[in-house]
Amino acid sequence: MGLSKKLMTQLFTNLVRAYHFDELFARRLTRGELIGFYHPAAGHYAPGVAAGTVLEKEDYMWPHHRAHGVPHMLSKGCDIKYFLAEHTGKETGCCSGRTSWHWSYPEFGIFGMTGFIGGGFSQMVGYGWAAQKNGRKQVAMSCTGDGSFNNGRAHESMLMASNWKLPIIFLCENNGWAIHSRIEDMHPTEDIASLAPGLNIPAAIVDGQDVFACAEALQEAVKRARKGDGPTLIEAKTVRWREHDIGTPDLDGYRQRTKEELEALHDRDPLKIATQQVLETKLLTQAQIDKIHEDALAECDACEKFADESAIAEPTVEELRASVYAD
Amino acid sequence: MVQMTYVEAIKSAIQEEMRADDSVFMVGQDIRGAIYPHSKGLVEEFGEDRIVDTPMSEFGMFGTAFGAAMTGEYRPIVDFMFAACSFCAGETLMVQLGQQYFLHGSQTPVPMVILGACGTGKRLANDHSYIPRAEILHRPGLKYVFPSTPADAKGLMASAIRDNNPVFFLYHYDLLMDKGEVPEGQYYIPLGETEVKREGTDITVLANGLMYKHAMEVAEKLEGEINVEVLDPRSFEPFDLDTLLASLEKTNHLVIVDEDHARCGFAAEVMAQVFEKGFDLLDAPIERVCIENMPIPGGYMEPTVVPTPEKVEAAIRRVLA
Amino acid sequence: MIKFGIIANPYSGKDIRRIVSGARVISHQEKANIIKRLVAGLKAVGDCEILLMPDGSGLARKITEIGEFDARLVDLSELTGTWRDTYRATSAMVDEGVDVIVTLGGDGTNRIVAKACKDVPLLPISTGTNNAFPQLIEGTLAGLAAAKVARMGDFVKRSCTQKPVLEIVDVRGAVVDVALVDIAIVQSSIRGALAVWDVAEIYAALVTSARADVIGLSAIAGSVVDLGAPAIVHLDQSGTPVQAAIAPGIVDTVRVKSAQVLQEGILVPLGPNGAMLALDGEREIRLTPERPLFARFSTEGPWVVDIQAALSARPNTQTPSRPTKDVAHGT
Repeated sequence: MGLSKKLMTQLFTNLVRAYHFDELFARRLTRGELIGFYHPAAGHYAPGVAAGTVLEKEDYMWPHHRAHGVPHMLSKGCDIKYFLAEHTGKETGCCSGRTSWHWSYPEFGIFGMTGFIGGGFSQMVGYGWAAQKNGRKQVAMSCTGDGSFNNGRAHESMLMASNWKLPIIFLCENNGWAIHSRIEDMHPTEDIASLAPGLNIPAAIVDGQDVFACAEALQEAVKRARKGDGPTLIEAKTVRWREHDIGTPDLDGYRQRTKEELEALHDRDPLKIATQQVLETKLLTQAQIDKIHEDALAECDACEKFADESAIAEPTVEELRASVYAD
Repeated sequence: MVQMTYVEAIKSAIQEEMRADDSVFMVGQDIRGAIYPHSKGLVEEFGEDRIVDTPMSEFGMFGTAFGAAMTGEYRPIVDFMFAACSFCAGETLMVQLGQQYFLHGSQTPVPMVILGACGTGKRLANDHSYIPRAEILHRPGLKYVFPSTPADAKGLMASAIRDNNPVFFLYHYDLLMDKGEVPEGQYYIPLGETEVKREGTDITVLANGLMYKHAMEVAEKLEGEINVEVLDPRSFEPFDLDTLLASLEKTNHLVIVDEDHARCGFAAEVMAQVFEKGFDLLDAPIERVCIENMPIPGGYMEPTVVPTPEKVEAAIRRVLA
Repeated sequence: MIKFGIIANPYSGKDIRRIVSGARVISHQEKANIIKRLVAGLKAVGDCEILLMPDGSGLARKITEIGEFDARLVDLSELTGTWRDTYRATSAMVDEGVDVIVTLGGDGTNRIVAKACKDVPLLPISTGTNNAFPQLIEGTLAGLAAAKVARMGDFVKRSCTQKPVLEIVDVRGAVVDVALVDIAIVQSSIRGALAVWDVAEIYAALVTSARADVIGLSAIAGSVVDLGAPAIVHLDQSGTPVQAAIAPGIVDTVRVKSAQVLQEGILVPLGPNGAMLALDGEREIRLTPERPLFARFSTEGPWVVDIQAALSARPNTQTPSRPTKDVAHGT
């Protein structure tokens, strides 16, 4: 329980960075300056920031697909410039420009991703297995949404994690929407956390709009995992106030989500909530907060500059052929 | 050289690699008790941390191996018991596995072996009998080997474990108890070397696994009448075409026997490659002997739809006619 | 017609303490099942109207779906998803003249209801985590008990007891909040995950009743002062070690520096500044130099149904009479 001042400052800073990067990615996609698609965080930043911030560099992580994992990765310490370069098809990209939007930061315990929801649950068991056996007290953080728990892999992954007491934290960032479908239409219970006790995994629900609340809960789960007490499921209730995927309609089933409904979600803006807390607790002054925003914007600029100035990844087909198999 | 069975040879390779390298572990269902004896007794030697039984959760079981391999610290063997069971791990296996290394910038290799038994002959019907082959070969990033003899079993398994890529090592039920000479100690067969298993001058028969046995049976029978050269690819990906072309320079005739459906299968692929690279070497059209395009029935009708020595002989005679 | 209010907190029984204690998540389904059995009890005694608290998380909908009964949602102009919904729903039920309010939640839920329920008796069913205030009771029996209380003349005297509270008071004497069970002064500057589960971060604890038979801070007090007494306990590394059940599944050694019995009506200053007050287990109020706060023990808290007394009492036909004293608190 409790967060050190240093950790709180880190969490706040990472939240600000996540916010500005999300805006940056969304803006670039709209301008055609980003390859592929972009699934904006739009209110759904805090759980990922907390997850990345409470981990050690070596811990394994499978970031959420929302915001393409940027809140998670930047909080874990990854330099986002390589990801932006990837997303713009540059040779400096974290996957050598081969994917447009996959992550690979092996030295930070992030080995890849897939485009399918819940697609990482299988590998999480292996990450957990490796973390348990290698004797370095690592943990593995699985970040997915509520929709991914509709997938059978979630069950198998939790089952095996529980059987073997693997050091895995299953973070469910529940924004209540699987693309355009409400959780209440797709899942018999609104609380994903209620799935865990049947597999003997402790679970708790936390306010996903409060980055400090998320961090406290995740810190506790990480502590359990490191001690060898096995997996934990943390469900962070969060919101998404934009469309699933920029440029697609923002639907509730097959009807447009209303403006009023989306505006109301801004009352629970994680940045507003965190700012209020750091000011009230006198952790930071307004001037310090302004500086954090300035630095984040400068970081965004630097990342853009790096990506824009990098050469387009245009390997020859021979080079690509030589890259399919490892030696 | 020692005499051992095909399944003992698989076990011998696993055992020696596990002794040599602590990062090798095996995960599967009922592998401690060993439904198929390739893992029999291994748990006593290596302990439950390295011979790991899982629930019937193929996504989770496969993911244990895949994820552990991705971290760069382990070289797992995942045993699906029955090869077609591997598809229970669906998208993770068929989409993610092959792309993992390449898509993520060729930074983190995925060294692992996917093990499963399969094949006709036991009349178990399609789900157990069918050999996943064309599907796997169609996914770039995966390697694929299939042993025909005990020596192949040992040498290919040892190389598969040492390889830095995901290697499918599938093996045949009907060959499990076949005995043969196997080199003692560590023994490796490089992946991607087609072996000339029987020299001949009149016609080349490319065959593997149980089909290799059929081809050899026919070759012996035709001895004196037709001089059959039998080639075994052993490794389907990477595939060594050069040895086949060298053989065709001598025989100028080819029959491909593949224990898979003809349509879009390995035999079709080899035909295409031969047409592209060795058209001038052929004196007659190539024939394929494959499984009929239908789910493989079990029971007494199995031989009706799968390649048999009689069908192989008939094909040889047609090509040479 | 007799009216019952049901306040079911969608968020109770789900917080971080499940991880540290192994307690299980109490889902919407489970709460709805309890209420289904509760309503069977309520209706067994005769016709009644049932008022429910609306919520944004689908619990009220699930309750009526699973419970298969008609209920009216009290009108809240907007839902906040916070304690305010509970507070306003309770007030609305009191204004409508409900006879008994049944709560499903833990100490935290009941604290909010107690702030608004005035003289309406509560029947708290435990679905929370640290349940020193509500009772572990089968829903059916709770329903029967509530129904009997509502039909009983002079019911408060015969089947309810008035519980004590700890009031948080500012310099002008205004009550800013209450706690039914305990106040912990914790070394934390934020509300965070709300709960308090690490005893090393507690400076001091105030309890309404030192107990030996409950989990939590009351148990610490129970080992150093007379049972039943309201008390303040200061914890410090230099103190005397005392073993207590701090949370479900956690027996820990705490070091008690000093302990005093609280006198009714006497103001106890709360400090240090920067610490958080956790009321009934949830971090709520930050102590600041700008707003000094005090705790005050009072015996005039909410009226709570005594299940044993209610179930064993025989209803009569007299008009029910309510206690005259207004025990409203706080905001």
